[in-house]
Amino acid sequence: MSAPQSYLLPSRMADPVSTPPDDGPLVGTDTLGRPLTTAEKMRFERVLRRHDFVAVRLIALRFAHTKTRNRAQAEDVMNRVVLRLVRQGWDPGEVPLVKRLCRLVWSEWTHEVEEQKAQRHAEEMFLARMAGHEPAETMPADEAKEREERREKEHAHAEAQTERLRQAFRASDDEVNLEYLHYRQEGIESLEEMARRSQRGVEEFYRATDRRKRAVKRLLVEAKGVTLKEKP
Amino acid sequence: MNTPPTTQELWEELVLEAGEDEIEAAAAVTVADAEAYLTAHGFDVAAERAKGEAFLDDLAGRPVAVQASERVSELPPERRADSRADRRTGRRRSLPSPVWIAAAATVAAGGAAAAAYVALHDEPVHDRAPPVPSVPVSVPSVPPPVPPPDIALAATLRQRAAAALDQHKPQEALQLLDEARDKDPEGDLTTEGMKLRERALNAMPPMKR
Repeated sequence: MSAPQSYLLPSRMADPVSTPPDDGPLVGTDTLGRPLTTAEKMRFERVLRRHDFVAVRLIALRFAHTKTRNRAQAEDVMNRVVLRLVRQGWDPGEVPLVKRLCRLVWSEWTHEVEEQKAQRHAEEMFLARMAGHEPAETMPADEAKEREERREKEHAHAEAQTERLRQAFRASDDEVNLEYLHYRQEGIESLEEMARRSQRGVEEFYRATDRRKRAVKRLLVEAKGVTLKEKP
Repeated sequence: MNTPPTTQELWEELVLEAGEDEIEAAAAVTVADAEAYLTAHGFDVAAERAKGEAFLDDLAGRPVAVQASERVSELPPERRADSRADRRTGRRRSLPSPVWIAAAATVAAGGAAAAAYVALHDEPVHDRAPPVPSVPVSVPSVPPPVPPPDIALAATLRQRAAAALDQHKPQEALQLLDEARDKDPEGDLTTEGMKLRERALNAMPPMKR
């Protein structure tokens, strides 16, 4: 059997140009609403192996450790990252595997502890059942209910955090970021379009990005029980 | 105009945006550097590689007995030689699944890895030895020993971070602060450590869109 071209490349060089044609999106179980079939699992494995999952996982594990500063917690984050990869899937044409895993590490690390516990429990239940229902056509009713409850909880969490962010922008008179949130919720992605609609200079929206990142980081850090010292 | 995101999608987008610089920096690390970092922090890199291999093998439902030889035949010639060398030198690049599950179970407090192992099986469990429980079992985790903080080195790294900030190099300063945090986590939460980090974050250039 001849080796796929990308296997000959160093780990970090998987890019859309060298991506083999069969590297279409890997659809996760959340989207499918059922466990993966045997064929889907094999394709998942084949694509991950082609993109050097084993080596890339080490890079993500390093990132997890820089965030958690604890080996056991870093391993725990990575276990959840791998589960989320199976649940949410991955599109090799959209983002390299290394970035996908690092994003998942960031996302898992920024989840609050209680949220993680709830999510992990739901994942355990889902995956434990997955083994016994392959190749099931649909998800069991209680599993679907659990997933729905998790989604509602995540939705409520997102609502609360977004509102906190809005309050922070109001408190600091950051009108540009308030407008940014408004436009994003309308589905506008282009900063130029936001500038045009708000009749502001686009550079104001560029500058607001930095303030927004800091404000979100502050919320995330506070949720972990640490308060950042503000500049006077 | 695109479809408006849900509140959850928007929040996730904001969270990812906030971590963009760190994610980019983390993803830019080479495998060799990641391995060196992990080794320096007490990880068994060979065992970590084995966990990755075992996950893939479980995903494919590949029987343990044929896994190694099958994988080698799929590799290009130079990597086949690598793999043979691994076996000669006893490097554990591809351990059988029970090793992975045992290692994973000791670190996954909630047994998520065990659940994944169970979930991804579509082969009869008796094909693999030793037998694995059909229900995820929480194995009491033994916290690994944490290396003592290297306070002196961390202080030096923080001084270098401050100097980098003075030279308008916030990205470099953040990396130095991260290194310092690895050496001395508590120092990162001191007023001085927090101020430095905040200063570096404030100095980061705006994101290009």
